[in-house]
Formats: sequence, structure tokens, C-alpha cells
Amino acid sequence: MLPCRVKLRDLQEPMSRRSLSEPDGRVAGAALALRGLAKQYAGASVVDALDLDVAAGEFLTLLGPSGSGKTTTLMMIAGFTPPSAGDVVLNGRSVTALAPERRNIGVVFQNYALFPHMTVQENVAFPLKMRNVAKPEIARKVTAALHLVQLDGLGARLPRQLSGGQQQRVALARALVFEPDLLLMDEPLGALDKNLRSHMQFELRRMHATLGVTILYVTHDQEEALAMSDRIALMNGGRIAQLGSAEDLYERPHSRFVAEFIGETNVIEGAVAEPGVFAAGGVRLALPDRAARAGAALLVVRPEKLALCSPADAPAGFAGTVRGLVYVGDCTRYRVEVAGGLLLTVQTPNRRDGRRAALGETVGIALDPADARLLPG
Amino acid sequence: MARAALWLFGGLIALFLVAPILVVMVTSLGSSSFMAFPPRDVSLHWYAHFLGSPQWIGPTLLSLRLAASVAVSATLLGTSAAIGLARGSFRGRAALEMFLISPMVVPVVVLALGLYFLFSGAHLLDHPLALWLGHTLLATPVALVLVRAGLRSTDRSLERAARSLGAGFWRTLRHVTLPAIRESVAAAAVFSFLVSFDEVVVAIFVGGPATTTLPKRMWESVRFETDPTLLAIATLLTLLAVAVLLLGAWLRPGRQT
Repeated sequence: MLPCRVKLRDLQEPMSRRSLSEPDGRVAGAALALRGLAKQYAGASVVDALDLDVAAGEFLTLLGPSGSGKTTTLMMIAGFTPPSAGDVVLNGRSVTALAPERRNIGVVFQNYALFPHMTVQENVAFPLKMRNVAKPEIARKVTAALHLVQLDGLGARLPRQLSGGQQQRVALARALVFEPDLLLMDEPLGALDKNLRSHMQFELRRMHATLGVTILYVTHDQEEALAMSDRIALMNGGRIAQLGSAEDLYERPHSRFVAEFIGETNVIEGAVAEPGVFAAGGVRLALPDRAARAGAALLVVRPEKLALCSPADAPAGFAGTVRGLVYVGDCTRYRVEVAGGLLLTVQTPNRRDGRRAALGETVGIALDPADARLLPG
Repeated sequence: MARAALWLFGGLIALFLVAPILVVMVTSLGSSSFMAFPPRDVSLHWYAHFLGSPQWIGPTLLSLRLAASVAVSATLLGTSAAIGLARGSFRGRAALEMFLISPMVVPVVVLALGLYFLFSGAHLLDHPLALWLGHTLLATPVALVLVRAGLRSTDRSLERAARSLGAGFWRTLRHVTLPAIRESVAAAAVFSFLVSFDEVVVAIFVGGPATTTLPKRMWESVRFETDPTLLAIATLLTLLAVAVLLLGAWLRPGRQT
């Protein structure tokens, strides 16, 4: 899904840029647990009794549309917003009652929040100064942190003299230099252009692997979430709609919301009428899962799991007319109108031996029932 | 054609606004004891007279000292109140803000009258303390409004970042918040200074022979004598105000350093 525009250099980077403190350069990340965490504003529930466990050293992403409560959750974990109920537990210890400055949590903000009147060096030294670290120690750690984010030699600059990507790196260095138990990132790449964003995604993954810090990452960009996370918590309406790996969410969505939010998908509304058969209008499809319960159901299938074939070879109802097609380089997307006016999207790779179709042509749609998912309607 | 008419119209209005000040400035350069425009000669006679006469220098020094004290007190109070209002979360915050800036909208005469009764009861009339308190009352809302605007335009995530990095409330204030609003605080000090330095109503009500500020002395001079020294002082005050405005522009946020 991720465009591979990153230069090879970034992938071959030796894992030697470590050393924030421990001999092997690993910052022991802490485990984070949210227990019934909730926030109401004026009676409206923004975050609804959230339970979540993030393992030490894990990269977990809170993904969701705006208003789903992910940023509010982050603000409660950081201590900027008091929760209405529930507990934030860091390394087995409740930090809910602690002021933000006593939590030892690094935060990277969307707009970087660098102190404009301090140089890069002073910005990165700030958390160490607040912890009364000795001066030579501060100098050493700041140099190491700037090296980690590849900003060697820029310590004397002011934030406004740096590019957006460089400012982002300073913010990261500042949030990591004091070896936090947890790193919170609020849409940190949102302000960068597309190329820089995918480059920084690799950088972040590399740093995470090197340092071993626990990261809770907030984004509304599903591609970013899929590319970076160990696990994703997809949020909707203040609750977690589904928690799992990128593959879990993409291949095995639990609900229509998850299926439609992550990637593109075809949703066919219909019913399980007889055991093991899904029916919707003219569509009839035998399912591998014969245990599916009778009643209203949704059949969910990704466009790239579908293929074009001759109308005679298609399952019942899976033949129709090509109403639209979009060539997008590596593949072509077809909009096919099948029986009952239903529009299905089919995505086929552009290979020399691949089957093509023209606008208005009658085609069949090949589908392996194992690739389709049945959800309760 | 329409454009030329517009320029002419604008020019006339500008002339109307500036003419009185220009007349005063030009007239102040004469040396006759009768004010005449245009002056028959050019000299700094009345400027020398101003600087050489204790009855003018005394009030000038008092006004400068008073304005400097008011700049300090009003800036301290206004900045503290602005931070409390901008960052605190408590009931009645909007009402409190209205209350704190109310001295800006209450007629000065009403305030001065109230202060007169208050200070006469406390036996503070004709005491510098009364002038200082009265002027602080007038200048604090100005400082509050300026600093409040500065805080509104600073990014809250700066302070949040400082907190997450280990700075408590006070250290965040000192290392991050105050540096971020220093232009607003400087502007608050400058305008508080001007509020006091220009103020005449409260000075007339609560001041006395021992506490005659420069504006009060000028007012008395207009009433009881016609002394061309006034013109020299008026010119100097105008130049001071222009200098302060330029200083204010120079302190504007966003200026590259």
C-alpha cells in the first residue's frame, strides 16, 4: 500500500545509531494500560470507557476519523485533560492523579511545539535541564539525540530556520532525550508533504526498533497506520471498533465500519437464507462457512480479491456491465454493474497476460468465497 | 479623475487631523511672550524656559516617576490576571474578565470621584500613593487586554510540551509562556506608562499642591495664565508619544530578530 519512494540508504541503515543511555542503546519502554478511561464534555461522551493494553516496546496506533476520541485519549494519557472516569496505568502504577510533568511521558505534537525562542540545542536540552542533569551529561545526551535524528551540527539554529521535516526531528529528539517510559505522537507527520511523510515513517520505525521505546501513535491516515504499527486500535465514537494487527483489520474486519474505514471494499447487503448460501438480489454465493446464521447479512470483499472472467464462469449474479474504469498505473479499477443495479469495484493488476475489459463490455467477476467475509447485517 | 478627488479628500482630512499639532509645534518655536502664528522668529526660548523652571520640572519628574511605577504595577497585575483568565478553568471566568476590564468603560470622572471619597476617608488625598493606586486602576485593564491578546495568539501546545518535558507550572511560565508573550508584556508596560503619564482627571481629583503631575500643572497653566511654555511642553509630549508608538511598532510580535 505504501509507495516505495524511500531510497535504499534508509533501509540499509546499520542499527548502530543507538545509545541514549543503556549500553545496547535500548530505552526500556513501559507497558501502558487504560482501564475504563472515559471523558464527557457537557454530558456528551467523547471517550467511552476505554480499555486498552499496550505492551512494553510496542508500536500501537490509535486510528480513527476525526471526532472518534483518539486525540482526547492521548491528552488524558499525557495528563493535559483530566478523565471523567477510569485509570491510566504505566508500568503497573496508576499515573491518573499525577501532573503531566511527573509522568515521564514524551509527547510529539502535530505542529511540533518547539520553543521558538530557544535554539535546537536548548530545545533538546530542556527536559534534561528540568531534571537537573549535570551540564556535561546534558551536552553529551543532546549530541547523541541530535545524531539519532540525523541533525548533527544544527544545534545552534533556531526552529524557524529549519524545514518542517527538520523541526519534526527536533521535536522527536526532544521527546526522546530524557528516556521517557512512553512516547505519545499526535498526528506527527500530518504537516509534511507526501514524500517526506513516507520517508519519516521508515525513520520512525527504525528508531522504534533501535530504541525499544513504547509508542502510542495517533493518526487518521489509515495507510500510515498500516505501514507503521505493530497493532492498530481503530476507534469510532469514543470506543475501539477493532484492535489487531494491520492484517487482522484489513483481512478480517469485525464490522462494516472497520471494513469501510480501512482500504476500499465492496459491501453487499443481503441475507443468509439457507445454510451456507448468501443471497442478495440476483447474487447467490455458496460460503465455505456453512455455520453462518440465517438472517440479514453483509458480504464484504476487497476489490483486489476480485478478478475479471468470462460471464459464463462467474458465480450466480456476478456478471454485469463495465460502467467505469480507472487506470492507476500498477492496476486498473473497474466499476461493474451487476444484477439489481449493484455496483462492484474490481481491481486487477496490469500484467501483460491479465484480462482487460472495455467500457460497456459484459464481464463476469471471479471470486473465491474464502476471500469474502460475512458480517451480521 | 475620481482617483485625484479621493487623494484630495484624504489629504484634506489628514491636514485637518494634523494641523492643530503642527500649529502648536511651529508656534512653540517663537520667543515672544504672546503666542503668535507664524512666530516672528525661530528660537528654543520656551524650551529653555521649561527646562529651567522648577515649577515645571518638579511636576515632570513626579509624572515620570509615577508613570514608571504604574508601568510596573499595572503590568504585573494585568499579566497575572491575563494568565489566570487564559489558562485557568473555573466558573464565572467570563464574568470576572468583564469585571476586571470594567475600569476601561466606566467614565473616568466617575472613577475619579469614587477614588476622591475613598482616599479622603483614608487620609491619602494629595499623597503620591493615591495617584499610584488610581493610575494603576486605570492602566491594569489596558495591560490585561494586551497580554490576553498575546496569550490568545500563542500556541497552547507549547506549554503542554513544556509540562510533558518535566517543567511544572511555574517553570513553564518562566521558560516558555513569558518568553512567548514578551512583546505583549512590553507593550503592556509601555501603554501603562502612557496611561499614567497622560492622565489628568484622577490627578486633579486626588492630587494636591504637593502632588501636581505634569498634566495637572498644564491644566492649571491653561486656566490661570497663558504661558507659551505650554506649547513647548505640548510639542515635547507629542514627540514622546510618537516615539512610544514607534517603540510599540518595533516591539510588534513576529518581528525577525
